[in-house]
Amino acid sequence: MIRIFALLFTAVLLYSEETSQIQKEIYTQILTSLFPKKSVIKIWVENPRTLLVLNSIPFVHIVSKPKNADVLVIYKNSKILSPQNCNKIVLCESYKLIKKEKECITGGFFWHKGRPNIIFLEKNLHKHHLHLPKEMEQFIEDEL
Amino acid sequence: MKNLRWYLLLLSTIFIAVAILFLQTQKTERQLSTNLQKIVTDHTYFLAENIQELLQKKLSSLENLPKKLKMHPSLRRDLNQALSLLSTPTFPYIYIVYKDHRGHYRYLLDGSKKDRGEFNQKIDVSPKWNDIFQTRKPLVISHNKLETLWITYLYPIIYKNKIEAILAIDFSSHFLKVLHNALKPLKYLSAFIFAIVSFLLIIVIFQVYIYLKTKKESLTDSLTGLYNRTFLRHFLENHNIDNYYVFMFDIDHFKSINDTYGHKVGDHVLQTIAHLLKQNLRGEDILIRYGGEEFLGFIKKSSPKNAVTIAERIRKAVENYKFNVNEHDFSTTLSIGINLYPERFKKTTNALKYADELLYIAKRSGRNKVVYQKEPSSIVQSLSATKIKELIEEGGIFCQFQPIVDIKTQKPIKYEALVRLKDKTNIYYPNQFLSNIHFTTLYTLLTQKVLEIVLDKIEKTGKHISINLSFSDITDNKLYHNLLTTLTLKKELASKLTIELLETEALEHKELIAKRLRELKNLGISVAVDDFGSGYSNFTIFQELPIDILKIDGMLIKNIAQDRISYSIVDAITQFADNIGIKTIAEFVENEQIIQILKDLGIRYGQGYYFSKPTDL
Repeated sequence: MIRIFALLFTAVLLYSEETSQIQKEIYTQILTSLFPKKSVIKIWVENPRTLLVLNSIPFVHIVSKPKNADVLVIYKNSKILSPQNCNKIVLCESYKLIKKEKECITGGFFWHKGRPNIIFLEKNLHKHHLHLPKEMEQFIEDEL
Repeated sequence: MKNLRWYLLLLSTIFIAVAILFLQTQKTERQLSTNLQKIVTDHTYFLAENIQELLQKKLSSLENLPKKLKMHPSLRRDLNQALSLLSTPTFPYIYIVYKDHRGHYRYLLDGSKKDRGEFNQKIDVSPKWNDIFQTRKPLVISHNKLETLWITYLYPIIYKNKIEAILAIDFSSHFLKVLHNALKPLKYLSAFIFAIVSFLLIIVIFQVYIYLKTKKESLTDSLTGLYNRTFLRHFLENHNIDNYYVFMFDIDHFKSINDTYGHKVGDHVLQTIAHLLKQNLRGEDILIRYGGEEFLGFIKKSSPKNAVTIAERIRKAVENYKFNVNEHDFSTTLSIGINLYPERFKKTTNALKYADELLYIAKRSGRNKVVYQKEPSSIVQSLSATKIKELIEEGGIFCQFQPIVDIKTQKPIKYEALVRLKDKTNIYYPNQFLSNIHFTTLYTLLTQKVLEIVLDKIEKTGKHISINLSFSDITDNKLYHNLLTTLTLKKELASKLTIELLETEALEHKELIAKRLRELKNLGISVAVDDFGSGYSNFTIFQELPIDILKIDGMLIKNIAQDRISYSIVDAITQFADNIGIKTIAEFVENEQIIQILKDLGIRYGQGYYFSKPTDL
């Protein structure tokens, strides 16, 4: 009986976390596109909900300080974008912030009208010498 | 059980009906959703037409729509405001996009109150959107994976056969939730009924399980795991045993095992032998613990030869099995009686009884044996105790007499009384009734009647007659005192009576028997020991009892011409009898050759078909 309840509880949790699952899949795709050869990617995350999602990706290692990270994932705090941090790959979860900090931000993933949206800024990809696989090229924007 | 089956069937039907109702509710919800979607999209079509009209009015023409809107930010602002007037919680996002040269969809206008897209901002959408360029007709896209959206209605804005832009209206999943909520009571009701019926069904199944388990336990012997006699009753009621061979097994000297090693070891022996039986039989065969150490097997018919092979295999398996108790090995054996032709019996109980009789023969002839009837015609059906009682009471008891002849003079010196039962059509011989009533009061009654017949015959004919009595007949107080009283009163009869003691029983209470025999001998009777050389034959009987005559077992005499061992035994017995001064009588004298051998051995008296069959006197 306990097992049945546990199973139902898990099923309910899984159902409510469908969005998180999509988010996880997209981040996995983005990160493997950006770092096809890296076995561990160190990430600093601003949004605690995103932190939970990223932490569930096996090859992601969450760091507590931006300076130790390979990738910064910001949400709304543009103060974090110091010149030093701008030298790192920065992903953003807000279109407005991407547009505002387009010199620094490499790209981003955000929910827009209930849909997942991905953007990579071509200029900043070049800056970091990043080459995306063919299937990800559709998300590259030359300007905003 | 029958009621339970109906109950289960009824409940299963209700369960299926409720399950169908439950599934139908789910289907109804899907159908409602589809119908609703149709109503909504039909309505939205007119809304989209109006928006297109508005655009046409404001822009005078829909040609180069992206370019025109890019050049007029204030017009965009006005149109966005106009579109936002249409935005409701049901369709929160109303926007117009175009497809750029890279195939990206980008905003031209957005009337959404929240999450509003900027002019030319890219929006990632499902590839299904591209279908509208093929169909050029309004398109509805369902969102199964997105939490907040239900459907998107796409309307192509066409100018001169070219799709200039697409009007998109997103419907919130809130709308669907309202529908779900409306159906919730119905769903809950059917789910509740479904759950209740499922619960009831589980309870019934559990009850049935408990019932079957209890039934199985009540039909199974807890020690051996084999079926018990209650099962046998059910089995005989519901099965035709003509399809089976009937095996009766009995563990030899089981009482000694219990007495020597204790009941715990005895139980272990029973369990092991039950296991060996199961191991050597097929799954379709039925094994029953029939009595203490007796097992009954119904073996599916194949061929009589195969049945005997199975029995021999079982017998050997038991014989070769080594039991170990406190590092001491011992073994036991199994006697088996097989009724190969149960269809020959009118009653199933008689078929079982016959298997038991064959088992009894196996026991009597030295144990660790398989005994079966070779031919169907050799079946001798025994009489039931009721029938025997009926025949005795109705005067169906009588005796035939076989002469005991002086081999030298060829003249009868006495006669052996042989009991028979008869009804209107048949005569029954001792092998058909004696074993069934042995150790019962009926047996004593029968002996009493035979004694009466024999004494009457002596009185009437003046001939010397022998009568067979067992040791238990001598120890039976009533029988003995009747005989003693009669012979005391009629002493002239005593000198013409010989008691032939049957050695089919072990000699217990020997002092009492010896005393009583001496008392009878004092009246003038003779005492003979019958069938010496078989059964419980023991030379010490001559030390313990006052024996006058020794009757050599018929089987030894029958084989005396062919078998050296039989000859040697008879020779030894004769010499022994001579030495202690008692007479010898040979039974089963059937031919001249035997007569000659008996003469050579110095045996004076003989009895058998060579002289005469048993007849009336």
